[in-house]
Amino acid sequence: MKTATFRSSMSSFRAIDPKWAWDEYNSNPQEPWDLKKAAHLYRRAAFAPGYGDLSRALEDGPAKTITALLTPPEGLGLFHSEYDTLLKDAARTQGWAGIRAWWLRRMMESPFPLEEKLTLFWHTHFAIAGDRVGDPALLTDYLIRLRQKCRDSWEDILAEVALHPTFLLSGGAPSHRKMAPNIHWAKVFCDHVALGPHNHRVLKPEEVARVWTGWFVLNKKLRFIPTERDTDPKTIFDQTGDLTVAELVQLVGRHPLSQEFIVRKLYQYFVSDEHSPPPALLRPLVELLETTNSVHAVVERILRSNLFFSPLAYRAKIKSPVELVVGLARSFESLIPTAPLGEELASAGQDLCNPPSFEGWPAGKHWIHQGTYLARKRLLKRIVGGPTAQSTLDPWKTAQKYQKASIRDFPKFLAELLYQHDLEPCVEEALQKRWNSLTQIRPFAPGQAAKILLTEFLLLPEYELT
Amino acid sequence: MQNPQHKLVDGLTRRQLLWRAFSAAPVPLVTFGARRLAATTEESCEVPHHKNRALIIIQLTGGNDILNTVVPFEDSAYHKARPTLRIVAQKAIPVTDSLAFHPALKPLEDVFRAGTLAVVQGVGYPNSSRGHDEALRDWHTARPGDEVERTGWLGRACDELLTHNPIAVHAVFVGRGKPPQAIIGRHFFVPRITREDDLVDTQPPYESESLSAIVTPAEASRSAAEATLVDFVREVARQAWDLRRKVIAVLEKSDDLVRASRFDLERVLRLIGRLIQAELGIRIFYVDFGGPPPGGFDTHANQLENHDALLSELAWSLKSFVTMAERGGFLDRVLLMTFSEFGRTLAENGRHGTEHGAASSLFVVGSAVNGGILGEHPSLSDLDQGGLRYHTDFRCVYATLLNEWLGVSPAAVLGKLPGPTVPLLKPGV
Repeated sequence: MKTATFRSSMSSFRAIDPKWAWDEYNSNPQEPWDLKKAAHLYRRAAFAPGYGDLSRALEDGPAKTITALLTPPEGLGLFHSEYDTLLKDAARTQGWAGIRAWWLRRMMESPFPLEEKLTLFWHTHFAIAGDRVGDPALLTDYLIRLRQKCRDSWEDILAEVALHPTFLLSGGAPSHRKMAPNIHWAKVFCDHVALGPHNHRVLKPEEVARVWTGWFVLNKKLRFIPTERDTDPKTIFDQTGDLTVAELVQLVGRHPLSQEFIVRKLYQYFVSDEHSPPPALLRPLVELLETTNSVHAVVERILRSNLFFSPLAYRAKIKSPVELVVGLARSFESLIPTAPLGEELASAGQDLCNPPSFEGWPAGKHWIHQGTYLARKRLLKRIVGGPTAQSTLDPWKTAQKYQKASIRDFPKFLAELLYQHDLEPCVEEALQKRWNSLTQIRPFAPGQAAKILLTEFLLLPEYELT
Repeated sequence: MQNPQHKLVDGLTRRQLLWRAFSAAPVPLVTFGARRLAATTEESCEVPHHKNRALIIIQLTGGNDILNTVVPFEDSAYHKARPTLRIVAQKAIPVTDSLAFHPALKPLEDVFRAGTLAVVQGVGYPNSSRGHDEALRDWHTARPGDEVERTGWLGRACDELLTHNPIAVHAVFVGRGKPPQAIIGRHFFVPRITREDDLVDTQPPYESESLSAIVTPAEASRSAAEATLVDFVREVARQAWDLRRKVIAVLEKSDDLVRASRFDLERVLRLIGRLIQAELGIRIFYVDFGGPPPGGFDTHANQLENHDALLSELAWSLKSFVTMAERGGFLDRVLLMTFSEFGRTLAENGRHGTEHGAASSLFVVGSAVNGGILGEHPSLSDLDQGGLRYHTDFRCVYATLLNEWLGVSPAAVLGKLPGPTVPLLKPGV
């Protein structure tokens, strides 16, 4: 494998040996543990690295760094209990805007960012839309439960969501009557929640719809009405009987095709969504999910793998709008006011409370077109150049913290922190020239000049990649 | 900026190479009716006739009373059912022997007589809903009765356009508030704008705008197979900055036409006109007129004055837009359609208003339109629960717009159609 850059080739994708792919990466002369790999790991598992994270990671090596990212830190429970209270209050008083603002803030401040990334992963998977749920408090409850379960088994996560009222409300299916099983909704369940669109005949929507009969959302609560239950036998995979929703969830959660569906999504989320991986490549991960019944174990295997640190994964994804701004905040160990951010992110294509379709948000290249590209760049510009009173984002101060706040060191500091010197030399030279001209302005205001240079770095197309 | 005609590999320009690389299909074949074109160049990725055409949809939220918009003034059943709301023949503007426009539509009389306005009558769908949310959902999804569906017909159309051009802004929602379900797609995100500079940042550019292009020429010799994600984002960046420059150029030479608008709808349509003139490649514009549901057209009480004001704003705004488009030379490239979630009952309700009905008529404007009254007026003696009975399914109108105007496969967007397409456009368009 050649050294990763912005131009990592995908041509050898099909020829990858699955064993090599998922074996643990160890630093070696051809693929040394360096700034690029450390930053790549943090971008995918923790939104983005701060300068201190990078220094520590280089010192600790890959194994210890990954363990730290995967381990809930001390005090996490207290952090969550405070944030859960704030979130519930915000949902009650500010509605959707409050939920968005406090979740974004939690992503920026969490001592366990991987957990936030996984919560966002599952939120995209189940694609529960606040507009359809209609009650901010209910969505808040769902998001809190999702976070609590996000690293458990697929079966447990599905069970938690399937019997939450938001699931049926968001699906436009609050009533499941014996005489009118909801086939439309069952098809969505098969295609987008359980198995993926290519496998839905393995799991028959007609049968799934009948399993759900008897369940209703009444007064925002899930209720079971026995008289509306279709008690005739139903067949789910190879099981036949008067199967319940709990049994359906168990059968789906343990089915190899469903596990492959989830593993594929985890692969696309953490490794690359540019190409569809062949089943043989995913097989070891599917087997791991089967044997350990742990999403955490699969994520760990991915993050420790050769493939994850190979050029095939390096900068091979486009950041979601949320990753774009949360990553920026975390890079500079800062807090950006999140109240206006929720709406601005919605304008850039990611309304945190409302995934648009049952497939969640569009991913990969679909994140950006001419319009959303400009919206994203405008947002970055606004965040850096906006009023300083509420934002703690100050690149010069961050550089000071790491003894890099000098005219000579500052451009290099940004290049290392944001791009790990992956930019073409001519671009780095142009940015250096820009910095030189900014430092000629008298009186020299380093804080302001630093923000202008940071904006130049962020407006480059390469910043869209993770 | 690189010369787009600069030939690179096998006679293709860099942009064409990238286009091939980024399109979902290696060489997409597009079949639209009898036309079948191989998309071997950027220009032919879409059918040339269609590529510069724009569709503007105006949603008249609330259920417009079509019987008082296009009045069957010769029908005694109309006068009998509406003792206080009827528009008398002396005040109405006759457009045929039996139909007349509401007096507030006076500005549209010329447009109609010039053949650039069609009124498509009797449009609806089977078992149509009488609830605002449900009926709007049906018109938006184009899948009546499907409470589960989350995408809309124009969102799905954008998803189709996306497979041919992954970078362009195919549609925008012009308005405030929540984006309508009609424009929600699986892959394409429709931006919302209220002003020109919502789409672009009009502040002075940063160096990075030109830095985006610095690396482009050196990469131009790469083959499509080697095109990676960074090529894609750089191409998006180049085209995005291009779009920004075009919008700013239009703003700079703009007079105060947009700001001087008398009505909000007029301002919105002039804004759309500006964006069409800037040739940004936006194919679909969605406008909400009437506000959030139940909407201004929901005239259950004291209908006359409210309806008059709404129709007046609609008519003046449409007329103003047509004038702008004629002067700007783009009336042949634009098709504007109004719709409402339902019509209203024939009989008034005792509160000087009307109740939710069924079928309605659509206004379609543009020089390509087959102007005049299209379709029979629904009978006033054979009603659908007090409202007009439909004879033309709205999905057939959508299919016509998709197939004959936008060049998008109706089957991909709408599935199986409930009937034939509608002769909305002039022959040969």
